[in-house]
Amino acid sequence: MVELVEAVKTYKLGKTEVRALRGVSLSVKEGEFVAIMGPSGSGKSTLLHVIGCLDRPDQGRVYLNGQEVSGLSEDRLAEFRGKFVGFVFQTFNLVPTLSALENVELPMTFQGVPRKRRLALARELLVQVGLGERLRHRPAELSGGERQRVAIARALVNDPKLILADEPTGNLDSVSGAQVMELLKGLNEEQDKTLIVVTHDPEIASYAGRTVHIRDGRIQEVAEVQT
Amino acid sequence: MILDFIRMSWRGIKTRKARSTLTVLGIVIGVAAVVALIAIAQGMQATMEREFEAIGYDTVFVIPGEAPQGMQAMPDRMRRLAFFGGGSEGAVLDLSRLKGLPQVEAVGAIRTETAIITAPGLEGQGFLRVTGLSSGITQGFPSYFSGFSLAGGRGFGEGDEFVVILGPKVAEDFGVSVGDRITIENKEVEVIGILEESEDGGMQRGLPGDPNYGIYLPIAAVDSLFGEPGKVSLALVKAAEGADVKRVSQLVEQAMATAGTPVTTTTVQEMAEMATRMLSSVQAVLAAIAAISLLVGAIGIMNTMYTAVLERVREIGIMKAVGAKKKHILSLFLLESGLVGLIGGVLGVIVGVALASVAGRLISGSMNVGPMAGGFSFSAVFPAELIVGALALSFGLGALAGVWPAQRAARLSPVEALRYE
Ligand SMILES: Nc1ncnc2c1ncn2[C@@H]1O[C@H](COP(=O)(O)OP(=O)(O)OP(=O)(O)O)[C@@H](O)[C@H]1O
Ligand SMILES: [Mg+2]
Repeated sequence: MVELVEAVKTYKLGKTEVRALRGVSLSVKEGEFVAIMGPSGSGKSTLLHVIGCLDRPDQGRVYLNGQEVSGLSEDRLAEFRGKFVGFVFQTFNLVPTLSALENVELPMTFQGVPRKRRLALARELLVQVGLGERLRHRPAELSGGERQRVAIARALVNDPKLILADEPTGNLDSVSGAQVMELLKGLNEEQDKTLIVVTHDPEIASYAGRTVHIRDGRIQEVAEVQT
Repeated sequence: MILDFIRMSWRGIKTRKARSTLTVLGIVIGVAAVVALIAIAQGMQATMEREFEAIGYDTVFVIPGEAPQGMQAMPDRMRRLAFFGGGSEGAVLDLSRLKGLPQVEAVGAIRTETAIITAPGLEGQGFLRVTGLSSGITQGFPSYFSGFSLAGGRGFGEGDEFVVILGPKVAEDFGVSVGDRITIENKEVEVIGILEESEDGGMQRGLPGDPNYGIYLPIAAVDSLFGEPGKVSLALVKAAEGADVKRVSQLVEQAMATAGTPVTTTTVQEMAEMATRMLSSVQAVLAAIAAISLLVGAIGIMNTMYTAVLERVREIGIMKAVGAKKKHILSLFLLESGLVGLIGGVLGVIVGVALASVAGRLISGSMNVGPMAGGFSFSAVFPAELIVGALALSFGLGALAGVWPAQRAARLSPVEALRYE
């Protein structure tokens, strides 16, 4: 499903270079649930962006679903991530001026899905994440946990095979955090979505089938967790 | 798809109400100026054409006296027209000489004088302008005289002398109706006709003064009341069909110069050309001003859109993260700026139409063209192309102003945009 070969990503800040990824190779099978852990600044988010076609590695290759994506143009990447990847961010990243329903609709708009179908599907997904009563609420009118559930509904709306979550519980209390994790785990188990979650919380990592540790832009070890 | 984008753009506009309103206002002013100016200019052009057409392009105006040579810098025809504008004292002309000229179909004379008038409705005496019309005018220039339809009574007939036709307003002031008598220069004259009220003053078909206040006599009556028979303030010559009107006007000048009574002529064609030339230079200046105000409006849109892009960097990042391509972001912002332009355009057209209508009414009656005109019937013209063009222009201008900001938005890298605080 996901295959990284010696991916390198370097950020240039003036004269200094920040080597966020220093040759990362990683393979994630279809239907797997992988946690990525590591200290702050170790390159977790960068890795997730490279996997999710939000960013391109400077060197190395990325394969998604058997297709090499590391050489694609920006627009082809946009198309690819629109159909194939759902993102969930620590800071939710909802559009503040749009209602919950419209936020969930948004990815479908760019795929050219007709409005009627968009509305029906967005409503269905919001009901599924337990927000059937909050369709018209703006993000500011929702709790953190509710916002993250809207974001999850949005990530699911184009029926992607891969869901990438960057510290999805980082801004949530433990109860909402647990709810969100249950939701994500359910997607992995019931809908067979491939799930990669970045976290520093071992408790969160324990939901995953496998944890990958990263430090200074390199994979440290791959630990199998009993399930 | 496009509808969804319009909806999203509209939301962008709505969320920044105050700023959008001000931006729209900038466009409204520009578009209103353009629409009003074009409508007024077109109205003037149409009115002029209509009026000159009504007089007839075969007509030559003749006034006694020579245009002064003083202002050499002025082109000849301008000098002549200026002379017409100043009016002439009038002089005795032997117009019968003109009737013999080849290519002349009709000759008419007009004599205006200021007379002492008494009437039932007047306290004491009035000093008012009276106009003597020769039978050549009333018969030879029917189209020219068509501005005068009678509300009551009859027109001048054969052998009429001390009779008067009054404009409706002056008849009211005099307190008279058809059959009543007034005195002009102590001579009793009978009111034989009263004109219908003319709404717009007309261009009086070249006659002096507003016909609503006109006091018209046969020219013979004016001659016998004021002496100097044959004195003419203005003569009209109609060229025969197919004749070269300019040539006829030259022949008229030559003939009268030979008779020792020099005259200055101008043709309706010349007047029309001069008026058109004046109008187009005024138009050019106004158009430049309107264009500048539109440009300022467009820069306003650009500024607003640029700020909007900066404000929404994160939102752009989000949209890209969920699959928006460059063209999606580009069209969102272009539509938004185009919509701002279009809204400004719609309001601008409304304001412009209102302005031009009001201005049309104000200009009407206050505009003078030549010595023979009083009020000027005028209304602005709003061709469909003007309205559609203004709307298309404002949308296009808005979109154009948005190109640069929209491109900036579309080029943002999704990761950078998401990191933006
Ligand atoms: N756009 C950028 N420009 C410059 N440096 C960057 C950029 N993005 C990331 N970095 C640097 O790359 C390194 C890896 O960043 P990354 O965001 O992947 O870390 P992380 O593991 O997600 O950290 P955290 O747990 O704090 O989110 C960091 O040192 C960071 O400062
Ligand atoms: Mg991070």
